[in-house]
Amino acid sequence: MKTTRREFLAAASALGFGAAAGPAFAQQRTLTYIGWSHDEAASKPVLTEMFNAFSTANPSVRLETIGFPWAQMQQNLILRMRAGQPLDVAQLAERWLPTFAALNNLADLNELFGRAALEEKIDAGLLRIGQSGGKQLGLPWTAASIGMVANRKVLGDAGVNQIPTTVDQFVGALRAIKRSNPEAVPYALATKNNLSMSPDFQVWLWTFGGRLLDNDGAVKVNGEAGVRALSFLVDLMKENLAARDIDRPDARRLFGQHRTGFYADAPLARGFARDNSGQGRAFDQYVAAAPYPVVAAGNNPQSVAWGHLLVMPIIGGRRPTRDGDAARFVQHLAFNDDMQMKYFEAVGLFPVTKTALARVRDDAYVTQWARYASFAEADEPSKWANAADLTTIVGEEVQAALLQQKPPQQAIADMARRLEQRMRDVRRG
Amino acid sequence: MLPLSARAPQVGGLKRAEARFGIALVALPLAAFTAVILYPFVDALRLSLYRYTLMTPQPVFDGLRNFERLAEDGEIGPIWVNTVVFVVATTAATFVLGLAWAIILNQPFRGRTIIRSASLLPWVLPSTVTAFIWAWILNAQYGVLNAALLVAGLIDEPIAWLATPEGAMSGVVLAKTWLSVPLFSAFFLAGLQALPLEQVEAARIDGATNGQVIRHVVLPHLRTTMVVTLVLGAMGNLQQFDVIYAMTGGGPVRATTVLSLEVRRQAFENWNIGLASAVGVIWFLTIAGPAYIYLRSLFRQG
Amino acid sequence: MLDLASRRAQFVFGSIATAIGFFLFFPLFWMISTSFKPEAEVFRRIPSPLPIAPTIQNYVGALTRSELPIYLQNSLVTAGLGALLTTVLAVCAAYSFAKFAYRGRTALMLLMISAQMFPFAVLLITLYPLMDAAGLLNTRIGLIISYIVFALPSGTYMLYSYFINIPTEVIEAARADGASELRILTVIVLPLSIPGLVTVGLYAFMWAWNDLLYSLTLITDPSLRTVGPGLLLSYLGESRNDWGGAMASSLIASLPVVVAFALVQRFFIQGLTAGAVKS
Repeated sequence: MKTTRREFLAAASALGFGAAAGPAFAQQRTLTYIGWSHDEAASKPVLTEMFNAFSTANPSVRLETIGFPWAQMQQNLILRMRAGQPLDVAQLAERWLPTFAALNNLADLNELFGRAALEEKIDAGLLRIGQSGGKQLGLPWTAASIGMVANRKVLGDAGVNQIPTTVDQFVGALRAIKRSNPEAVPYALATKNNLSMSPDFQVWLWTFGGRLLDNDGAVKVNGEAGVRALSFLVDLMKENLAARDIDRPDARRLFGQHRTGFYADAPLARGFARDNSGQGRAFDQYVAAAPYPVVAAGNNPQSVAWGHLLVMPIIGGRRPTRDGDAARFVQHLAFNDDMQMKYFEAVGLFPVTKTALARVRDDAYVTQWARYASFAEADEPSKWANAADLTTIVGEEVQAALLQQKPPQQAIADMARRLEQRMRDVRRG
Repeated sequence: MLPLSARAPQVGGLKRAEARFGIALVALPLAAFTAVILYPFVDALRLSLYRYTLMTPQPVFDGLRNFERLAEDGEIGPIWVNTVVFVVATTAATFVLGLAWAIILNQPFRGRTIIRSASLLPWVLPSTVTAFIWAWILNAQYGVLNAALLVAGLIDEPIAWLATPEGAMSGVVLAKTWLSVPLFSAFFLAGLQALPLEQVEAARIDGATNGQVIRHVVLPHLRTTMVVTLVLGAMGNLQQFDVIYAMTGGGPVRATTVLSLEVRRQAFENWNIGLASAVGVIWFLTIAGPAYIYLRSLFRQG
Repeated sequence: MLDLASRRAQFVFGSIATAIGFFLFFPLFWMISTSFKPEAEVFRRIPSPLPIAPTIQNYVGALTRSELPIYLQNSLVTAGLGALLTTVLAVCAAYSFAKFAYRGRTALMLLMISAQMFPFAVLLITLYPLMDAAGLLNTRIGLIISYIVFALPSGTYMLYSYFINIPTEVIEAARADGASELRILTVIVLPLSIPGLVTVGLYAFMWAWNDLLYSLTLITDPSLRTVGPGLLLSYLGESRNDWGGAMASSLIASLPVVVAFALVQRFFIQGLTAGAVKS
């Protein structure tokens, strides 16, 4: 009924009744933004501030912000876009881009802003995470990796004074944590939500030298590396070094309560820890960026490339323009150094502009993180249009092994078989 | 239950105008029924023969390929079993508890009226609330069930109930049973109130015990009510989506994924409409047999 | 009915009654108790049965921080109008089936009543593009219309069994007096069927009120969300661990219907069970 009311108002103002409702009201254009970050307690205050700054600078625009929980975001965004609901700017995880690109209604930012203008602001390498099919469909808003985060206090209490770098040291540290605090979950590995289990597993898979798929989409997971990686995680579960029923929000909560030593997250881990601990910045001293452990000393630590994109959908034939409200809003969030720095200061999300990046080089957490992130690889299913389906399969088979419903060998074999079926469909067109 | 054909009006005795009014009356509901229920149903069955995903803007005829895919994936078998387990366990538990509770509420005791009214509470709560309450009771770290078992010394470590396949299935069965016992017992209670007391007294004079009264007098009297309740209850449980989705989302590893969740997941998360419809066809075939028998008995009665 | 003179009978009866009573009422008690606990008391491995330092903070939070009042309003509007629409349609269909004769009547009735068995989730597959084409996706009207799916078939059957029991002589007499067909329906038939109407209305309302499947899929605008998805999406994300808030919100979300139900339950039970018990 809301839509009808809006349509009615539009019709009314077109007929000249709008003036009765006051000139300011009649002239205000609505800009609809959908995202998940402003729905999360940790980022809510700073994003509200950033949104307000935009509204103040653009009094003729009424900014309507809509939030969904991260896990529900992708699904709801597709539902909304299919329904043709008003939508001007949306926040996407970089790995959702191929799915949305397949819907074929995202504006190409190269056409909108010009390639050169984009590269002048943002490093060409960073821009890549927003590209699909040769088009710049998403603008990076923040970019880094999902890497390992360590809790210095938990490690210290367990007598672990060095952040482990090899798999053996890592397991040693986990055991030490379990000994010093039996109620702790030494490694809060994701064990509940497919969307988190899939990337967590992939990093270990790469660490042990495996891949899910090759570049042509042939399934490669069914090998020794896959079995070794999954067996390793299953053994952690059996030894109570990881626990059931853990998703990212649970891990973050445990971390803020000094009840876990390690978990995987994006750099905003520090923002969540500030918020969940209730201690604010005082908690920063315990949050350390750690490398994913490697099999042999000297190997490169693995991690998953990660970022948030801003996209501008074309809904009902309404194309965004270069100096339209949507374009200005996107630039306000991603090009404006003040806003980028504000976001970074508040929650620890890395800026993307060259100039803002230069300003954060002194932060140890950032430099550490950036160093490990330099080896980050893209989430494998993301490359394919049926990413949601592939992610579910990887997540489910990993979970089946972690819950000891089937041996790792069988889980990997089943995963390979199911992935092959789905990839056959993709290649069939 | 009333036979559908009972006391059917005589065609010959009616004037044309009356029949016209009757037809006019049924026109609107029929139009709504066709548009919102019948057409979507038939169309969904049709789409099971098409390839229709996010990437295919228009459905493409694909023969039985969706069913082949279901067979290859091998996911549908366990989902079907989950559905049967859920429906049978929930319906049976609700039936037994509902009947027992009705017999209890039929005894005179102080505060009975209040208890009778309050008993309906679980049924009127929104299903998301039901899911929240049970998820909280069964919570791995702070749940009251674990607390009680720990205090009683029955377990040493808290159990992550909803993280194990058996625990999650028991959890959703428990929650749905809790939700439906009030309705079942209301049905049974109404049936019990219509039980002629002379029958009970006659049995008592013959020396019947409580158990014999229940077995030989009460249960035979409730026969019709029991059949109706069982059928309606089983059909409701077969449709169940809300509590399961809100409590477990179908996990862990699809352990609580029933047909309704699978249809929605395929249709609105994977956007594979054709495959979702194929699951729907299997669902309909499952329900069609028992439903046919039930409907036939409705029409044959009297 | 039962003879509870002996000690043993009393014991058995008492234990079963206590056990089922505990199963039915403890969860409600636990929801209320948790909703008044401060966070520190909620997150305890061994919680205390009653709040030690009761607080209404969870309620304040639920009412001010979330959109709960809006969700409630949306639910009451959509479930209420959905139930009204269902009842009106069911009355028309059931009265026509019960008291008029025309060709195809039995087949039509059979078709409508067997639709109880159509899986709701399957209907949604086509309802979704249908609502989309009609421009009713993400509107309250679209949701209200979709809600007839839940109870139109069974509601028609329930009312049919009511109407068929109204003696045809009463209707014939009114006809002889020159009353119009519409007048007969509104002045004679409906007043005689009030428990049936209330039953079907409430039954349809309960289905719509409980709905998560349809509103989660057909509604994407937060300001139009109903209670089910509203609560779910509020407590599924980062605030998933706010159990005190979830319980307080749950309680608030339940109150309107509990009150409404208390007022009409007498009719309801009477009507719901009429068809099943008479035979």
